[in-house]
Amino acid sequence: MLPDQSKPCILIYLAPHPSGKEKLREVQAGMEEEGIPYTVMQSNDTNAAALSYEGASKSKLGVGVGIGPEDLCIHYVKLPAQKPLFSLQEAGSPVQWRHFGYNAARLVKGIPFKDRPSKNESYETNHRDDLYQVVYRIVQKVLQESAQGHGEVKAWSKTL
Amino acid sequence: MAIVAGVDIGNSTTEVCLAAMESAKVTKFYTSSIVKTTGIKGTLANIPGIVIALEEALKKAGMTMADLSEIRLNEATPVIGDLAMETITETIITESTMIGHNPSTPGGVGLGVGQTVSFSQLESLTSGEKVICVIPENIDFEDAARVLNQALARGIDLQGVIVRQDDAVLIANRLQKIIPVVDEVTMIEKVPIGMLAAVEVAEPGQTIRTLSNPYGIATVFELSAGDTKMVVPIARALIGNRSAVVVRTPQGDVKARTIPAGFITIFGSKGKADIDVESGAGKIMETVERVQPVLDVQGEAGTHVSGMLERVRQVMSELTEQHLDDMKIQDILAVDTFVPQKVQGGLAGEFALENAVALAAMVKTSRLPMEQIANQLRSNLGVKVVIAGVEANMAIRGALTTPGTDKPLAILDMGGGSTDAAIITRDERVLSIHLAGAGDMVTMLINSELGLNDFDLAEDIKKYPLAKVESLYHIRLEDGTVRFYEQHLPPQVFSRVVILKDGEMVPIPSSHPLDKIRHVRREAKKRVFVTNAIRSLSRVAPTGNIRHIEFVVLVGGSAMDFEVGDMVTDALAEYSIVCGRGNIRGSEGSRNAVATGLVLSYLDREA
Repeated sequence: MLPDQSKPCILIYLAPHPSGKEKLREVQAGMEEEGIPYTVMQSNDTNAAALSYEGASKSKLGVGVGIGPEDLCIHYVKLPAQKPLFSLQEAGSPVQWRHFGYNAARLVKGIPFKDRPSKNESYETNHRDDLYQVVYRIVQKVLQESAQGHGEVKAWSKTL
Repeated sequence: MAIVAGVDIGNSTTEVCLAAMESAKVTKFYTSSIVKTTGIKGTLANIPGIVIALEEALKKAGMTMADLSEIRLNEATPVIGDLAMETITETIITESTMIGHNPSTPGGVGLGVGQTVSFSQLESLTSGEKVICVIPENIDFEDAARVLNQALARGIDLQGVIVRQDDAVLIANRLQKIIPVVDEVTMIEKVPIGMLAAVEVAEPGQTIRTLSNPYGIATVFELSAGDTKMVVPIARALIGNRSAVVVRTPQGDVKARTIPAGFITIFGSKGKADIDVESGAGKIMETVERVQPVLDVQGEAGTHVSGMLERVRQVMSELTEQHLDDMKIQDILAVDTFVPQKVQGGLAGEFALENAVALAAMVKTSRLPMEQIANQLRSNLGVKVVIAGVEANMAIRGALTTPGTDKPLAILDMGGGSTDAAIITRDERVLSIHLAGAGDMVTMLINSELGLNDFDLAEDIKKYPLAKVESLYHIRLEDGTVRFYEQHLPPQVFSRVVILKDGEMVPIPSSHPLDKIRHVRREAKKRVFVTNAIRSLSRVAPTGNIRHIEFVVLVGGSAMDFEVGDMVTDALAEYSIVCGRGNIRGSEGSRNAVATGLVLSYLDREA
């Protein structure tokens, strides 16, 4: 299958595998959010670096993304074939996949890359902190109320 | 033959000049060295630095400490400067009323006005209601778009969307109606629900029109004239954004208040004068010039400025171990500046530019304990140590070794803590002055105006030129020239503004464009160095008229800067003064003037 040569876009080369669809969705979403067009190609190769390089060399924008079963790469046509610009050497999480989409698009747009999130995505830690705060406040409130009014704390402390 | 070392202890560096002397003249200048001053100038903590500098110079000359016949220290001028900054305006949002941040990719376009509703409430709404939907995190963009489209289909008048995740374009692309979508709102849970709100997103490349205009906000929320006055700070904070949200809450309020900064009283030998800090740097400096020379400066009790001046006095008193009452502020340099400060109560980390006044103050103490340093050095090294001459005289002597100079001559010593000027007349009389404000103040201004919160980074921005990384293989320098690289550049610097520091690239972690950073840097240097150059030379000019000075030599660390020298030369050319960077001994550049002068003063003693 040959990519459409007429249209400038990022080429995503996908090696079919069970989680390929999910990864592809996030990568596409990242590019769409940044407003850069893409075309998806299927390939039998399973090495993401090779896939992404093939994409980059055929893309009119010079940017390719390779999605393999075990890894994920962004490649730029002017880089040496074995050295992709970004590479994720693990299955990764949806947030990480999304960031590959953002950054491939940002390479085209020429704006600074988004920092790569760690495996424990930052949203979740924020969320956990907030949750901790909420729980902390509730516990405080309950303790205060019982200390002020109902005398249960006092009674309890007496028994101690 | 005697081997003499001149040692100049400055605020930031310690410099050594090593020379061989015959009875009447210098036979050979060997080497010089420069190291960072250890501790505060004029204290015993300087000794390690002095020893390192001496060893370095001796090593380069192939000598050891035993070869030294004499070490000559400068009578360091007992002036120490300190800096402070005080904001004089403040923006506070009581209750949450605005989201003025600029996500890189908002979605949709237009202005929407309606009641805020949470995403989960959407299904229970009836048709015809004008709403703005607030979508928390962990909701997938496809689900969000589907529910929003269903709501639209049921006849709900969806006016705009506020999203936590970076999904604005994805959601907007899937909606059946074009409405503004603002994303990456970090504290989405604090957006009040059930309140009237407005969401605006401009076309790409444009800025919002309605919410950055006080009358625009008044139209949207049907405000009275009195209320409109209150929303001016909101509108001001939103100018230049591509997207914004304003929520109207019953008690919500934004205040731009002026912090009473207080009066300062300047006691001069020509009388005293009061001046309000709010009236700005220009007025303060006018007052200083009117009553100069300054004997002391005090702040109105209980105000910010008083606290700030007291802090300077306190620090100086502790450093010099002298009584607080003896700490007289001998000069101040005020500079108008602005500080990006986090808006109290903002929802997405918004900043507002607040006006501020930066003050450099200089305290003159009684003599620094140089005698102690000399004694300690003598016993440590076993070499004769002499305290020779006043710093200004030594600096002039050194400066006169610059090819093409002659008396009468003025020098301008621009260091880290203070700007000093001295003049020598044809009949060898020397007059000198020390003024507050120099390199450290420039660093402070850069740090605050760019909102860096990183003094080391600000110092690097001050010292080195900038470049913009335009692709993985090339950068564009400040002057527009392009440099190519054979190896690709690291992704961290891609598309960023970088500092070219000794061959490496330091990315600046902010979204300021190169021009802005360059402008801030150059303006900071002008406001401190050019102002102080003119101020100090006017003071030492024999007639009080700066035009009567013919030749000025720039010395000191800040004169080495890649642009300060040219700025001062340019500014002084207006007064038809010949001014340029010194070249001490024809080889040292603007450094080493005092150390060289100290070595030369050895001859006076022999004569």
